[in-house]
Amino acid sequence: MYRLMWIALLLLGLFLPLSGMAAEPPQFVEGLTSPFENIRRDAVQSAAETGAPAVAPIADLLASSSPAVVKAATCALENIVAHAGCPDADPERDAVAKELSNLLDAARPEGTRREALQLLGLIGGDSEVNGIAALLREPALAEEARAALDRIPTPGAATALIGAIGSVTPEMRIGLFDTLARKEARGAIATIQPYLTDADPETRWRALEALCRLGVAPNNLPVPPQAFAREDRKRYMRGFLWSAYANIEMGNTEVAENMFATLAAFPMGRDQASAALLGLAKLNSPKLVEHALGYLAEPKIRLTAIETLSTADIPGIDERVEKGIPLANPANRVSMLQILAARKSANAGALLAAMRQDPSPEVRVAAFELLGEEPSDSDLQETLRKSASWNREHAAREFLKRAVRVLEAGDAEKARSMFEAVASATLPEELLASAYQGIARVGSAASLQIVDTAYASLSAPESAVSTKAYAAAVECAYASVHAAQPDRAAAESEVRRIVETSKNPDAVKFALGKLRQLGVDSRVYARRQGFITDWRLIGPFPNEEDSAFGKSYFNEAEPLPTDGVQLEDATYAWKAISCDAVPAIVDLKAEFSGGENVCVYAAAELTSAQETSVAFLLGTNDGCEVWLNQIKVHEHPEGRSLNVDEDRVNAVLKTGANTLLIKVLQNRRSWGFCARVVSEDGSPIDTATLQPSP
Amino acid sequence: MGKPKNHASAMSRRSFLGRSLAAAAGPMILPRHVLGMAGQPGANDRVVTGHIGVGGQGQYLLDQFSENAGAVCDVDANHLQAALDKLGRRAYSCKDYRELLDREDIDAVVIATPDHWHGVQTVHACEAGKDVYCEKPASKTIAEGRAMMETARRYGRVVQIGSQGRSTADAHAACTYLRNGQLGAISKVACWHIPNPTGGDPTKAGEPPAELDWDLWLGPAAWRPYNPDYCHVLFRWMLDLGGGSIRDRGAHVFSVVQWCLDLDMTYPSRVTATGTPPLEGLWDVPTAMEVVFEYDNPKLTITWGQPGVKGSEHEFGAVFHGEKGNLVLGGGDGGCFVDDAIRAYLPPEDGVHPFRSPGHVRNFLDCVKSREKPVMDIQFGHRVATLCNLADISYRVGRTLAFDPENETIVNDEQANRLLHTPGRGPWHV
Repeated sequence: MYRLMWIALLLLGLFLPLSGMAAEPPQFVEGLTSPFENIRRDAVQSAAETGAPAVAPIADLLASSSPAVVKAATCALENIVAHAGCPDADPERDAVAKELSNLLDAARPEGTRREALQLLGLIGGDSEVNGIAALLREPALAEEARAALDRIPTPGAATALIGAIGSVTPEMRIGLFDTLARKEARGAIATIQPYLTDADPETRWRALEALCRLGVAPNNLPVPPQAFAREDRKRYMRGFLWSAYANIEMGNTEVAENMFATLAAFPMGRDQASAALLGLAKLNSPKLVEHALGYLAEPKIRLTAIETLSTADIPGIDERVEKGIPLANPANRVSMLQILAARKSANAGALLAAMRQDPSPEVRVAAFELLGEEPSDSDLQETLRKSASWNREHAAREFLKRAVRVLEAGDAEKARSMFEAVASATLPEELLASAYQGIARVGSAASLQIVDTAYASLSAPESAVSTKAYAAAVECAYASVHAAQPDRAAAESEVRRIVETSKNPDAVKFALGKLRQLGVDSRVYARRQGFITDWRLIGPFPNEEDSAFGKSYFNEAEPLPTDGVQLEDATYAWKAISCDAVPAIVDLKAEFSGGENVCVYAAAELTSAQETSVAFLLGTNDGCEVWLNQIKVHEHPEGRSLNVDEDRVNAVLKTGANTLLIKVLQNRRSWGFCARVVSEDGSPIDTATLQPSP
Repeated sequence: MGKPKNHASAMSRRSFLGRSLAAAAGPMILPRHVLGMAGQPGANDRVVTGHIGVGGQGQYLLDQFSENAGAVCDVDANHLQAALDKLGRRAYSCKDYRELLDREDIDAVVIATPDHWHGVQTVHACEAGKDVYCEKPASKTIAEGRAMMETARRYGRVVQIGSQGRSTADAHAACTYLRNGQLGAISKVACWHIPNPTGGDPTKAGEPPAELDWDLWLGPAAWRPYNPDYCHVLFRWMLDLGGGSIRDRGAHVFSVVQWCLDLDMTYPSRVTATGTPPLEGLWDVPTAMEVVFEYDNPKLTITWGQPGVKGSEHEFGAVFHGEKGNLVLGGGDGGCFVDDAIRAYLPPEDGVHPFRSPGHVRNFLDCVKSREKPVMDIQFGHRVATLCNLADISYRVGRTLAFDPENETIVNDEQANRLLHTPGRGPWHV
């Protein structure tokens, strides 16, 4: 139906000029200027089916001072273009493209011409490319013209771009090189080549790169390679890769193979070496073998070399690798064995069996493991001391696993020596951290020397970028080992040092535990910061659909039910807890073994020598209600994460006993709270004065 | 307002190199104890990252990579200073990411720039030999995604896309549950999301603030005057820059859906998107949007509804409709939420045990060392982004697209195929 209407409109458009009458804009166009959005929206919808005759009148609206009208007009034009671009709408497409082309006229506002270029990119064809290409020379519209020609997939668009190369600005010329390379317009090669000697270096380079992307070899250009290689060899060598892949696309695999091989022989960095090996592997080139074997000892490339050799379908790989084994150094022997095992080579089993007697421990370790057998502890330990870094790391991982098993089997002394062996090796911090964690678990005074050395190195100037995990592990080991030394006073002093100086919460927590083991009241640190450390908890009470907020499970305005709470069939009793963490966050999830959609009450007795104005600083997850001496003083109904000191509640402690009661709500996931007492000026009150130890 | 000179394209490679060499005199980022000593960490033991784009999400990622970050880069000087303050230590900093890529002491880059930069910067980083952690969505066009994947493969680089839902416990639980057939065959997945907002003020266009290099912020995107309403964060609501929620949260939800249903290597056959374009304000992403992805093998429909039908209290998520019931997955990004029953499910020993990521960033760093493919490898990231990009094309041309999965092109629709690629501005091309 709409097609008939469109043909009618088209015919009308043809005859009206002949009759000397001005074409009336389609009625809906007026709707685009309506102040009412629903009318504008209807007009936008109508545009699509009206098509070409509506383009010019709508385009007139693009110059409107009203942003809403401009937006409606833009949407309407986009609808027309989308509609005319339907797969079965060729006549409409041509007509709309022609109308859009008319909008490129210099008499039109720049914004209108820009919009037309963008739309022509979606619908234009060979009939429009010359008009578009002419704008490549207009600085204000050149980028949009290039983009439009980039999108138009016809040969004519590429020809127009090539034709413009000589007449545009140097800046635009570079853009044309890029566009032609992307379009794989090989007809551009002859036109681009002269720019390899351009006075502007960037033009020369971009010409080179475009030619490489079009499949020209960088060493087969009408300029000597030195012209580029001397200036930026890495950039020059990258051209080989582009050219090689372009040649694969063109079916010239032999050319591509030679380029990859050139790159493999003269790489400028690990990226290009890996890329060259991957390219040779993609082509299953026999040239891969020698090049890849040459990279087995390069830390950043060796895995690519091993992977490509392990998976390539190239005749003779197995034999070549086998032949190389006797001549290779231990690290390379290991890699070669891994390759043969991955390839399931016919001789792999026999070779591996023989290699179990290799003079090098790292080779013996690999041979045993590739055969599915366990290497000896001594071989692993020797490998830790002297081997390629990657084999050393592997041995460390295996040795750590064994040390944990030994510790769990009860042989702490042997485990200690194994952990120390790893901690003494040159390894990445994550592995050393695991070793120090093991030393911390064992906690033997025999490890004093090694942990003292590591601890001292943490504060050395060059260790400023130690990972937190490594530093925490060393600090835990330090606390644990010192706590085990026979001089109790010295032990306590050293463990306190961690609590007082460490920035690692995990290490502080660990050291606090060690202080407890030494019989020290570990709450002192939290208390000095004003945290309430001793609580009694009761619950968990139900909190389905957030029902607990505002609901009483006992009368909070009365003294606490010290004997517990009876609700329907359930009996709830108080339990006392003590929290020495800094900050002293009570983990209710841990105290009540999980729990969702529940709540608990936490009560603390605070004894004040005199009436004192204080502030409670609270953090709760999720919401809370708070009472002091049976009077509600605070509430926060919504769920939230726990942030220490998030809420401030000003209060007065009366002389004698005071009861702080907090109902902590729980919806899902994390659940906890903490509370601090500070003076009016915000300075912490040592809660040892309010909650004296028994 | 006249169009300014394109500074990006005006800057020659030579002048860039000159500045790079000067910049190289800045702090070197060396791992601790570079030479290695007995009992001390050895050489090259830590992956050193360079961070490109350190506003918003980039700041979050700086926290995540806090022990790896060795260099920061941003076109906004305020972002750059905030990043240096956050790091609290000496670090190399620059405005132009190409300077960062030229540094030999950077192993990997973390890209958290606006979406329109992801493709170009990932390709350039791979060519410079860097591994890449790139924020989602991977790309803004299908051609860009293909270029990212091809370059990563050609150079053997590790590229992780930041759809971190796959590294969450609850998405893993859902994946385990569904892949072990607990709901039987899945016939439909209905994704929901709140509508895109309308707004932005076109009259705010003007001069960019002094701290911002607007030309470099735009990079490959078509030139337009500076407007704060489509700059930082708000670029999300422009079709050609951020593409709306479907490219933002859709890249999260579709990632988890694909993973749960083992669809990473399966494309839909047909895609139909409809939407309501805003006729007020600056932003041009559709407010409401409905997309239907039809799969032939397996027979499945995935829908995206803005607003759609909510399956839980979350702003977005997905409902899996199976033969034996439904599974609701709330969220899809760093926060994925399923019911306790799903979490509690343990597959039989001989059942399907999907890879359990140790954390999205950790997984990436592990893979940089092992050279294995990460949990959200660029190939999967590209294929997830392709769903979003197909929806964008279908919406723009206003018709159903038949998709050729082999060639990643649209069947018999030349206009739609023109939208597989967006020409880059100035020198910024993939």
